[in-house]
Amino acid sequence: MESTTQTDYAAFEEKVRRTVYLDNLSPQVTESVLKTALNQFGSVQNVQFIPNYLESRTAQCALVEMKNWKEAKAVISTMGEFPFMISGMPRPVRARAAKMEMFDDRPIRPGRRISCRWLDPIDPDYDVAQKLKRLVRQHDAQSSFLLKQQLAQEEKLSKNQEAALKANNKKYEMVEAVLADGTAQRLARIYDVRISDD
Amino acid sequence: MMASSDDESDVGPVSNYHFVDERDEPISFSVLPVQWGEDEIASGNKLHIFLHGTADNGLQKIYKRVVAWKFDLTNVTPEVYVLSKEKSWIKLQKPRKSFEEIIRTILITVHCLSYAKRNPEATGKSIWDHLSKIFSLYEVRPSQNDLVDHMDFVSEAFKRDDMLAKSKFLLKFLEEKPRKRRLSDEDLQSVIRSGFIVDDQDDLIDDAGDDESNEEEDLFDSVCSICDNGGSLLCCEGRCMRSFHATVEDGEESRCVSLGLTMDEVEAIQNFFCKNCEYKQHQCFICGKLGSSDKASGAEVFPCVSATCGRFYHPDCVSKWLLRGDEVAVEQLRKSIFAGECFTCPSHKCYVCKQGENKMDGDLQFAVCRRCPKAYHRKCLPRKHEIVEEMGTPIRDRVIFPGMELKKTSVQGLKRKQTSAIPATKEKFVSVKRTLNSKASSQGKPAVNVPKRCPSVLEEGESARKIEKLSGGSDPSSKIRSKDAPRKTVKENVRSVSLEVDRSYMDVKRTSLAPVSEPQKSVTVKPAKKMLRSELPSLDAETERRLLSLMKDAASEVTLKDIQKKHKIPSTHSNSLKAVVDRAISMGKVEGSVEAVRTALKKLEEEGNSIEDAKAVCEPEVINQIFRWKSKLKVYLAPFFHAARYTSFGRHFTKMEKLQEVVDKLHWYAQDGDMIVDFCCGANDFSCLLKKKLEETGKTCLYKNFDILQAKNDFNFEKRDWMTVGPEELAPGSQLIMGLNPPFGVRASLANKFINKALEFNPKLLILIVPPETERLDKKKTPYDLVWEDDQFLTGKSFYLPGSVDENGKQMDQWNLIAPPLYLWSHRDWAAGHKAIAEKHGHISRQQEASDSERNCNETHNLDHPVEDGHGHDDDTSMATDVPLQNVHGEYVDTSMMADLRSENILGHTSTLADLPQNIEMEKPMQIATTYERRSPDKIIGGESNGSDGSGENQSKKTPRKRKRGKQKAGRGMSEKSPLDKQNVGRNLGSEKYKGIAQSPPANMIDGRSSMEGHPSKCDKIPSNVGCGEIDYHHFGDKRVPHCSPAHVIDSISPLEGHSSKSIEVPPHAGFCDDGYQHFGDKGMPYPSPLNMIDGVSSLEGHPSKSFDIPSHTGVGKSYRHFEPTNSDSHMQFGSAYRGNTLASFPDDMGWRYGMNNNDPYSTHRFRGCSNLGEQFQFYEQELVSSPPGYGQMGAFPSPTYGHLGSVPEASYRMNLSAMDRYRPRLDWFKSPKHKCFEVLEVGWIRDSDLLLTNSFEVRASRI
Repeated sequence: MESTTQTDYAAFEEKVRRTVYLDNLSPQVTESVLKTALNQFGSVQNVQFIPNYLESRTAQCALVEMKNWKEAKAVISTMGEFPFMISGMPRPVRARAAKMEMFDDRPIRPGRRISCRWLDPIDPDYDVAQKLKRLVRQHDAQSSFLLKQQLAQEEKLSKNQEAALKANNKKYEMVEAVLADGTAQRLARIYDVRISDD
Repeated sequence: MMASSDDESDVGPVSNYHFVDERDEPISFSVLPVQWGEDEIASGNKLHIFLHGTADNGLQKIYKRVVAWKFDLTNVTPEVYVLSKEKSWIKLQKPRKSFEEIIRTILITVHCLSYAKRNPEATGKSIWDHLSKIFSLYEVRPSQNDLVDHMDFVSEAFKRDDMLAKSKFLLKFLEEKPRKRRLSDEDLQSVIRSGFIVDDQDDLIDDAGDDESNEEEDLFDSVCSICDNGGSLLCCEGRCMRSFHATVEDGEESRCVSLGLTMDEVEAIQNFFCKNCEYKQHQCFICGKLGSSDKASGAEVFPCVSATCGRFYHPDCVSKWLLRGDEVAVEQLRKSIFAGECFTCPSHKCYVCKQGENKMDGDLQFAVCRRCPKAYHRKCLPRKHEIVEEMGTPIRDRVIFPGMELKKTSVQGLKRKQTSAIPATKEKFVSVKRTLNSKASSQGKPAVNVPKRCPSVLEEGESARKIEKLSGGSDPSSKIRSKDAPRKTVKENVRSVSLEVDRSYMDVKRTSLAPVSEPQKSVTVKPAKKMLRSELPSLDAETERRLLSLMKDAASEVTLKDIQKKHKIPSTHSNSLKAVVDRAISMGKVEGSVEAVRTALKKLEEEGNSIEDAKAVCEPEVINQIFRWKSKLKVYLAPFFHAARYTSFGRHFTKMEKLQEVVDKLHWYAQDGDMIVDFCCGANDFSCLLKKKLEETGKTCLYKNFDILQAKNDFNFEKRDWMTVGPEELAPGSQLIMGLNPPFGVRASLANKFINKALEFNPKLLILIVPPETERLDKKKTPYDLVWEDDQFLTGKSFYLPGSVDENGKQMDQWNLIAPPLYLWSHRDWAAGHKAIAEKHGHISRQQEASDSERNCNETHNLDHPVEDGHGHDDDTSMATDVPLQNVHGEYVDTSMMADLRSENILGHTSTLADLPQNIEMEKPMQIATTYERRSPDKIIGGESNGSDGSGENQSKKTPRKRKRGKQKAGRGMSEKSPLDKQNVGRNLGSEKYKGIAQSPPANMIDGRSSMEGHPSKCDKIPSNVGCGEIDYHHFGDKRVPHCSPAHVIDSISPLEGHSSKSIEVPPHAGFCDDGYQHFGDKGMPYPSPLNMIDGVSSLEGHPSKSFDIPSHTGVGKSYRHFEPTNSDSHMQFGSAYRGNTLASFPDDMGWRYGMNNNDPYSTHRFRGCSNLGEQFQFYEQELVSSPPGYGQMGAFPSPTYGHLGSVPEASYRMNLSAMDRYRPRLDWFKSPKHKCFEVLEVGWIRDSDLLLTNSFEVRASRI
């Protein structure tokens, strides 16, 4: 019994090592898309999306298990070096090494036992527990504040970029419009200018 | 041996020489012992080194073993001798070109000694100058690095020669003993730089940034509007199209007040709009007053319509100026301008003679005043505007920005600076200062100082004044400066690009950092003391402040430099269009140019103005500029238009089947112990396949695979930039086999780069998949011989996009409009052997010989080939298997004949084969797989047949009928053809035909060919449409081309594609098809506008059909080898688009062509579904209809038809080529990309890094 949990746990650890955590995935990314995308760098064993129940963010995240840790490392470093788009979403995907806590099906660490009990307010541990509870809440509040800030920043950035892109697209359209209706060509013909359009 | 001593003494000086060791490896003679004196005997020679070369003016070939060498410095030109084994000294003259690199160091050393001996006082510099004259042909300038290799030799010579011992240079050199390591690194770098980086810049920047900014800056105002100097400028995005020095530093040279921004501010600017454009308050260029230019809210000033002008005027001012004296006309003009009518300002006509500019003629070039709206021809030039001496320009109080409090400080700052900078000239400076003051004070209410600038005042004083800046360049110094400007800008651009990149990285990083590091910090820092008190999780202001400051700290920890260091962009992708697109192509310029073009045309066509007038509005160069912009924007935006394909980092890999075939051919050339290098290995399949194959045949080789991205298969893989691989890391050239599918780059620039790098290793063989426009290796400095090339091999879906899936979750295929040929190049030293191997295994004949590919071979040659192919291929096992597949039915004899011929094609291409079964399954009668491109004869016909009997029969019945109908109606020669076809039974006939062909005059060939193409159509009713299409096409090709615009040709083709696919997909459409067909036949002439055609086309293609592999070939293959997309319903686009866009390239031919494809899918959307068929047919009716003469011709030359199988290829190929060349551009007029674009836009999530992505990866075109 002991030994099976041991081996199970070791296997799990191994799995964690060869798994990549991907963030910032567009909502359009499906398992097959992700698989193909990462198959460039190795062979994908398994893809598991991490559901986000709490807030509806546009980005999703996933755990992708590669064949071995080397491949996982390669994926992480490649994505770190070059912005990587998946499924046409022009947003670079972020990759990191997976952590155990990211797996909802993780086995219990051998030797670790968790037991719960109620505490009376008079119990000396009661204060400690309260402290912990508050601490957790505090952290939660802080991190959600940070997250908000961060998202705002991202938002701003992406607005800028979107504006830039739209501007460029508008230029393209204007240029194209004048070419598409043949105006430029006609004029060139009248001018007797050779169009160096290639 | 025959080498008697008499012979020995006869050996004169040897030239064109090179040395090899026993393994035939080139080697420098410097490894031989030096014989210092007559009496000394060379010792310690264990090496077997042989001298190759020619003596006696090339009449006598020399091949001798040599054992030692010596040099003689007594003459001005040092002489080098080698001692043959037979003890005679042979003088060396000129080395073989390719050998120069190997012996350069020793030759340079010897020359250096010689010079040092005769000039003992010479310094290093004079020596190297001298040597670089002698070795001027060498790519790398001689330098100390060359000496370092021969340190021992030099010191020995130094010791032995008294004269040398006096040389100061040598003394110093030997004392210093420069370390070889470091120097060789430098050396390497310099080699790389000269060979690659520079090339790169030439190729890419030239293409991308340089020419862009140059031309653009030339066309537009390329100097600062404040100080009239060039340099690093910030362009306003708005309609004013001006540029400014953004920071005081930038304008230092000209002491420009500049915009007074800081570097950080400049970097933070996304799109710069000057205050004028921002608030839509522009100055009248005549009176200088600010006025609103916002048309929406009642404009007071209006812009000149000229494309490059960007100046605003009060209607009042400009009318008065334009029409001096004529009150009525002035009033009229004034009103019309107020009403929004366009006008060209006075700067576009010579103030004196009222004529326009002619840039070609020096005298007629304009000098345009930058202070008032006057321009003069050079010849008409007066002088005015007083020059402020300190500044070298007229007073710089011209520019007024609205609402400019900020400026004051900067101006004052500058003023301070100026005064302190030039105290000596203080007195004179007063005037400057005064102007500055007036400017500063006027900023609150800009209008105040204006009146004094009133032109009329200036006008009067004309004689005394000077024009300061002449665009024509009468003032040499200013000209130089303005020339400099663009160059600087380019540099600037490049830099800003990299900044850009990093910034985006930083963003990424920041966001990723934040959640990790910051919360942690805050956890450790704060909770300790505060925790207990705060019951509620809501944060107080204090905490928030802390958190924010933590964030800021974290963000500031990440510096641009760190990120730059971390993200080294591969040498191949160091260029980006971002700067060009964002800055150089400013919105204002685009708006202005576009409007000008329209106005100019309107003036010409509707108002009947003269060309002169139109040119004042829109210079001819503006049109070219627009085209260039478009291609640049298109490339830049490609990842947004075609986002789906970018998961692969813009790469594409060769399919496994193709690789296997390459391996099957290549393995014959490999020898035991060779090293196989795949310099851009992609998925790294090639090496694995080759290894397997070679092991089967008992050869053991080494493998090295490089790529900048992790390969799927890590077999001997090294994640390296190929450009950084050093020569010592690979086996010697005699054992090297290198190559495969490098990224192509714009106009094959990257492919060339990869190849040049590979050539540094002198590999014995290079196997390459590169675009045809790549520089051929027989043109290189060290020429290689072509063993064979195959331009058909990679037609069709030979590539795939790794990492990208279509909507069905399948790997996306990729193909090229023009398939990149597969080449095998051999080093000259081993070429004979390789050719023998090729001969032996039939690679050459199958490949049509290199000569064919040169496109000059004569017809007879071609004729032979088809026959040969038709029969000979049965022997070939791989081919044989396939043959049965094709000859299915008696009815199809005619086809079958072709099928035989074609069988090779197909056989040659497994992938095609693979497709066949699919088609059959689909119950579709037959698909015509045509490789219509006949570049090489053996691939002549792609007509496809096959299929089950039943269906086959149906078809065969139908077809003739249809054909007939078509013909009758058309009343053209086609009907004659069918009988003919019937006769064609089997190969014999075919071969007879071939003979016939020989006689047919080449002129017919094209026609013949078209009829041929018609052929396949017979066997299948659907294809028949195709056939027709082809015919039409040919007509165009033949007859039309001269007078029709290129677009038509291309278009005519595409409808075909649509057709075939449709019918295939939806059998019931058979009837339809007939109709369609008839349309082709009947309708003939009307020439649709290209646009329509394209629409028509795309809609066709839009029809979702799954069966297409082969049929699609049919349509397209012919002229472009571009295969139509199969899964049209997906949003994703299809292959071809890919390269072009990816390539970061713009004008690249391929790009254009691809562009066309890209668009198709979109239009697909619009037209998807049968309901549209009618519409489409309408298109056909209009479009397809072709010129009658064509048909007539076909009829006329029935017999030659088949003959063309053989002979056509050449001609048609040429024709295709030219057609393509001519027509390329047109392909882009699609509206469709917009749709996609919007889609993308709406989705949001667009970031800088994407732009980055685009640009850094678009270049990365293909890999294996």
